[in-house]
Amino acid sequence: MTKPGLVLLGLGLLAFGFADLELSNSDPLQEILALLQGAVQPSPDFSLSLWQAVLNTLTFAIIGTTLGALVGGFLSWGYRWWPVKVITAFLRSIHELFWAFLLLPLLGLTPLCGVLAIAIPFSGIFAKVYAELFEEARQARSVELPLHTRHLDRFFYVWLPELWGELKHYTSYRFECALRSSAVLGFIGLPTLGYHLETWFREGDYGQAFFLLYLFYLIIASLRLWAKPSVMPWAVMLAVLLFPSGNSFSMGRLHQYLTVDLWPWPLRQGEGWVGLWAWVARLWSEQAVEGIVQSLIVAQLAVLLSGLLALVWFPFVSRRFVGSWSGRFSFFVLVVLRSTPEYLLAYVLLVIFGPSLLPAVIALSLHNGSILAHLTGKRADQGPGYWSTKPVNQYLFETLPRVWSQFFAYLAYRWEVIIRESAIMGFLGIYTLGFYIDSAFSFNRYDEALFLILIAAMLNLSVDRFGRFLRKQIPQ
Amino acid sequence: MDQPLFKLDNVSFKQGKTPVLRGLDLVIRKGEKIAVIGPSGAGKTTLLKLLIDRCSVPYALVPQQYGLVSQLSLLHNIYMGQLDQRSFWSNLRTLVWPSVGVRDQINPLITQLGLVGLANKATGNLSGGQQQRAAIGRALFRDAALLFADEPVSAVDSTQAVELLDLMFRSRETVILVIHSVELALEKADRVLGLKQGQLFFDLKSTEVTSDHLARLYAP
Repeated sequence: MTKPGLVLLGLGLLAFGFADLELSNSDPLQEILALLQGAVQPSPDFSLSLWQAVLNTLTFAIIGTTLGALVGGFLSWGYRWWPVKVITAFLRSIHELFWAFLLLPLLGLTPLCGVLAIAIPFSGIFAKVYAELFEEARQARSVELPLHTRHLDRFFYVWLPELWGELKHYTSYRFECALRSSAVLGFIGLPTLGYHLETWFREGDYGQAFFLLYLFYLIIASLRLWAKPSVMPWAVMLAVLLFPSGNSFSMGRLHQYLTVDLWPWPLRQGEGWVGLWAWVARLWSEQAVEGIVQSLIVAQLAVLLSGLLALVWFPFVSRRFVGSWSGRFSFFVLVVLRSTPEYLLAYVLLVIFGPSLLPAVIALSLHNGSILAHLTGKRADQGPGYWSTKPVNQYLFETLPRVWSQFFAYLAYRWEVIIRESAIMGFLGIYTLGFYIDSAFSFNRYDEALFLILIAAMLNLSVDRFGRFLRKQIPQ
Repeated sequence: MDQPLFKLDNVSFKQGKTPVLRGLDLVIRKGEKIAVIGPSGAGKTTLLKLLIDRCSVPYALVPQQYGLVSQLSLLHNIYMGQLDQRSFWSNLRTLVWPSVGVRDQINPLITQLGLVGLANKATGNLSGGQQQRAAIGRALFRDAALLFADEPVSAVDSTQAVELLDLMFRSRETVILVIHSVELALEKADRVLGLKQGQLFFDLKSTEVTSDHLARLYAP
């Protein structure tokens, strides 16, 4: 095992020692049986509000991704300029749910709020990824062009065609992520699928909840049929046409929000820097430290378990180890887990296990472990076709050493995603940063919420940086 | 007498710490058709790059690796030879929907290159020889009197190679090409530069090159 691997293992084991993984529901069996019954016997609901929610989920995701891609594409041009780098890092370090919370007081529970909550962080993500792709293309450029070719001509004639496949692939992947985010936004009251899911799961109406979940899987599964470059421009136009009206935005409100509501309370009261320092110190010691520690515990445990899960699971999706039917079945399970938003999974597990870190850890591990297993399994299939007599020898002495570096690179990358997600698990009642942010919003303490969101962003950026450092340490 | 296009005076070139070209003295004038020959690793491509770096007039290049955009059509790749000579909007329009005017300019070249019927095909789907001809087409579409070519006919058969070299020599005032085929170099070029281990082994008119010169050039 490499040193970076030992670091993640050590951090995971350390987190295990501090984690509250208690089963507070003493009889989860009854709940599990009820959930299983709902899963096996879904109750179809064809009410207008449900179809409206499906439509909203799609329109939020389509317009949010489009806006994010356009703004991100534009920002990627200036990505080498450090202020753009900082701004985009900041935009993407804040989770969609946090952005939604930040926009709620300004826009209310409106479609615009949902769209912007997706578009803003996505623009930061797109800017970074597009800029990296363009930079790669620029460095690897072997196309012969006239000496004084304009930058824009170079972009349209060389970079865009050469990167088209990757851009298309990444943008459609993000569209799938946007659909998950759009659904999850319903959990805070926006009119998407998550709104109904949350209601039905909370009321124990599992049949209807599973019907809706299956509908969501169907939408995700159907993406490869219709989310194509030839169809998407029409889908965007349709989404804009169907975009529900309703907007409570006003310039006066914006002014009030930026200059008063988000402004730290002591400064509003004229208490000056001394008051501000006391305010920061109180928030830091009473909320931020606990939030950071719990977020890290959840994240490190989830990283460890995701990694272990993927290492156990990837042979089951690799053609090297399993036949086509069992491979397809494993693949199907992975796709279902990957398609289920972590937040929703955690919510369902919370119903089963009761409140503790356990539901969040399991949800994050299953979701990210399935993605890692899928990617590592694909990697395993690419190598030379050496077969030993026993699959276990093949796994231990050929495949695992061969895929290890790439597996670890994927894991270190997912670390950033996991820490981002672990913070929002606080909305479910566990004491990660999201819990304190949610509380602050509930009491209309927007200044405190903003302070904690910035802490979450800093935590995310630090982990991102450390993850990148670890990735560089992996021997290729 | 014309001012020389290039004048190298005891020029050397290193890649890292390895000397690639040593003590080159060379004068190249407008209107010359020059072939650079020599064993592998002699520094032929490096010499071509060195000349390109010092070039102060518009030129076109046929690179050894073709340098095509494989996702774009043959027509678009050839059109790219004039990207800097047309407006941005005209280029954008051609990328989306090439006008009849643009097609009329490029189609005769496509015919000369023996690529009829392939104008709209992505160059990534063309054979190696067709891609090489596409790279020649792009260089010839460029409005430049000086043409550099690095192994421009390595992927085509001998008959096509003769035709393509004829086309290049006929349509450009000055041609400097790196070529492996000694026969083609002697047959088509006016002047032949023999490079060996980074040094100019001989610089002769093609009619003056003897089998003895060649034997010594390629001797280990």
